[in-house]
Parts: sequence; structure tokens; C-alpha cells
Amino acid sequence: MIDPNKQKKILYMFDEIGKIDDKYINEALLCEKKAVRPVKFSRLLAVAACIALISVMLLTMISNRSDEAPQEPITQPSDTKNTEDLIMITFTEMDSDIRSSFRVPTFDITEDVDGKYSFLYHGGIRLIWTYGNGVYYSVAVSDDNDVKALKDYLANDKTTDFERGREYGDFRFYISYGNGITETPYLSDNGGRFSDGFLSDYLPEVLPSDEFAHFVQTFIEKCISERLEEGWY
Amino acid sequence: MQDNEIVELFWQREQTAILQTSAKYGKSLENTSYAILHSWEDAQECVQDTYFAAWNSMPTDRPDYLGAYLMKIIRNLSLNLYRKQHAQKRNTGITLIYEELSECIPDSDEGVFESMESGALAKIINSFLEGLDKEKRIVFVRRYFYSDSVKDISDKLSISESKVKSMLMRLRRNLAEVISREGFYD
Repeated sequence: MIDPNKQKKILYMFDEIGKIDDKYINEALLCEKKAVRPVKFSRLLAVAACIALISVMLLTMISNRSDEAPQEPITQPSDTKNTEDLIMITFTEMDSDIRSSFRVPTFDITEDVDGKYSFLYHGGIRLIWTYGNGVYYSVAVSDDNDVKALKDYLANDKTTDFERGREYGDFRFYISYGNGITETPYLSDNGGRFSDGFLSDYLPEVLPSDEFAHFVQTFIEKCISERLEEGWY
Repeated sequence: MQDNEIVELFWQREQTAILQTSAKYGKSLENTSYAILHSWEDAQECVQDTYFAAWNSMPTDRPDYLGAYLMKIIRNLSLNLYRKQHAQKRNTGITLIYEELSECIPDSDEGVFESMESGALAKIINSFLEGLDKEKRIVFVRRYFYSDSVKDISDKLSISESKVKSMLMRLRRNLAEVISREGFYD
């Protein structure tokens, strides 16, 4: 808690910054440019590894199917892959049609400024995530035990990281409680940031730790596989 | 459209002045307000109030930099609204900025911080900014005038977030020294 006298000085200073020369304000206004960041070599390796993995799995599936007896027709809308195969690969490696079925519909998104999206969810608990490309995905969580397990995990201090590396730097994860409240689980000691239906961005200094990002992505894939088993797709 | 052309539309009382202003600065104005208020609804209201204020002030005013002129208006409007609301709804982003700025403030109540005369500290900050290179100056202004997050600044200037953070830390330290040196009356 800041001393009231100091608080007054801070507000005075903040107001005085508002009176700086127009040329500096204009200079900073004109600076906005989005640069394309060079792709890190580690990311290229990760992409190459994913492609190799998917190729091996597809080849394995094809050779297995050619040896098997004819199968019963699959009742799911898509018959290109079955659910068990899907569980084995990560969300980002899934068939793009399946991925897009978990994408947050545009009509749910109310604003779009500088890549920040805001939308309200009602009815049921949902996990929302993004890989930092402006596209958001969500999946319903039907099991209360799962939510409890997630929140228990959030209660430890390994969820966030300061001054971290960039490997999972673009991954963001939120929980929507279906009553207009969305939580950014970034600070375990205060239970996360709550906002009234909007996705508050993570503070720049506090980002998901690698361990948490791995845990969350596994958790998301579990929920997705459950929805797929239920015939959701 | 160039700024001076838009200003001329205001002076001619042409309603297209608002349209042109909105096209050129609407998004930036909304972003600046949102950074303070964290509410798109409130930000949009402030944007509308800014156009209204601009319409009422021109003629009379003929700003050289229309963007900066509008940014000052919306910043003030947003801050006033934020301070009215802040008891109910805290914006963690602004709170963090206040905490950062507290590092620049000496403990003593003398000089500018005694009188808190309007414009007095702004003069010192202007001369501080004058002495900075362009990148550092932009980082400072984007953080403390526009209330951008570190990530936004990093994206806008294509520099790493850690570089932005360390730059800001050094800038605050240097500003604190300047204020200690120049902010006190003889």
C-alpha cells in the first residue's frame, strides 16, 4: 500500500507526463510498426519434428489398415481418423478440420484491437487458449473433478515464471466459468485475475511457466479427447 | 489526410473532420483509453468525448500535431474516469505504472513536489526526453504516456521484452537523478 503523500506525488507526476511536448507524443504515436520476428531455429526444429512424427504415424496407420479386416462404418462425421489416433497427437498437430471445430467462433468475439480479444461465455466451464496467433480455441470441461484438479495445480507456485525464455512465450490459457467471469490463472497466490467476461491479458512480467504450459496442454488434450469420444465432432 | 488538412476541416466546421479524425486516429485513441480503463465500452465513450472536445476547441486551437493533441485529450478524459472508478475496479496495468513511477520520486517534499505546480515537472521531463536517443524516448513515452504494456512496446519496436524492461529501469533511475538535481528550487 503506497503512502498517501507519495500517492499524490505519483499522480502529479503521471499528470505532468501528460503535458510533455507534442512532438514526443507524436513521435511515439508514429512508431507503431509490426516487425516480423525471425523464426528461431528451435522452432524450426520443433516444426520439422512434428512433421516427421505425423508422417510416421500416417504411414503406420496406412500399413495397419491394409493388414486389417474391413471395419464397421464409423459413426462420427469424419472417417479419416479414429479417436484413439487423435489422442496420441497434440492439439496443434491435429487435423485442421478438427482444430477448427474447437475454434472460438467469430461472433463470440466482441472486440479485436492489437490482437486482444474479448468475449463472454455463459453456461458451463470452458478452457480457452491461444498460441499467440490471434486465434482462440475453447473446449468444455464436463467433469468437476477435472476442474478441481486444475485448480489444485494452480494453487502451487509453479504456474508462472518471471524473466523466462520464449519457448512457450506465446501460449496463453484461461478458464471461463460460464457466469461471465474469466480467469487468467497467472498468479497462484491471489487466485488469478478475474475479469467480467473479458480475457485479461497476462501481465508481461508474469507468463506461464514451461511446466504449466505442458500441464495445461495435456489437460486440454484430455478434454478434447473426451469431447471427441462423446461424438462432439 | 495530413494533420493540417484535418485541422482545417475543423476550422471550416466541416463534419467530415470527425470522420477523417476517426479514420486516422480512432483505433489509436481507443487503444490509449483502453490501456487506462480496461473497458472497451468506456474507451469508446472517451473517444466520442474526445471528438466532441476537439470540435469545441477548434477553431481557437490549431495544433501542429493533431495526433498528439487528441492523445492528450483522451488521456486526461480516461484518467479522470479511471480515478472516479478506481475504487470499484482496479486496473492492474496502471497500478504497476504508478509503482514504477514511484521510483522516480524523491522522498523529500521540496521543490516541484512541494508546490506541485502544473507544468513545472513537465518542463524537467521534457528536457530529460530531449537528451535521450529516439528509441529510449519512444519506450518512455509509450510506457508512461500511452500506458502500453511491456509486451506492446516490445512488439511495436521489435525489441525483446527484457530489453524494454531494462531500458525502463535505467530510464527511471536517470529521471530520478534529473529530478533530484533540477526539481528543487534554490
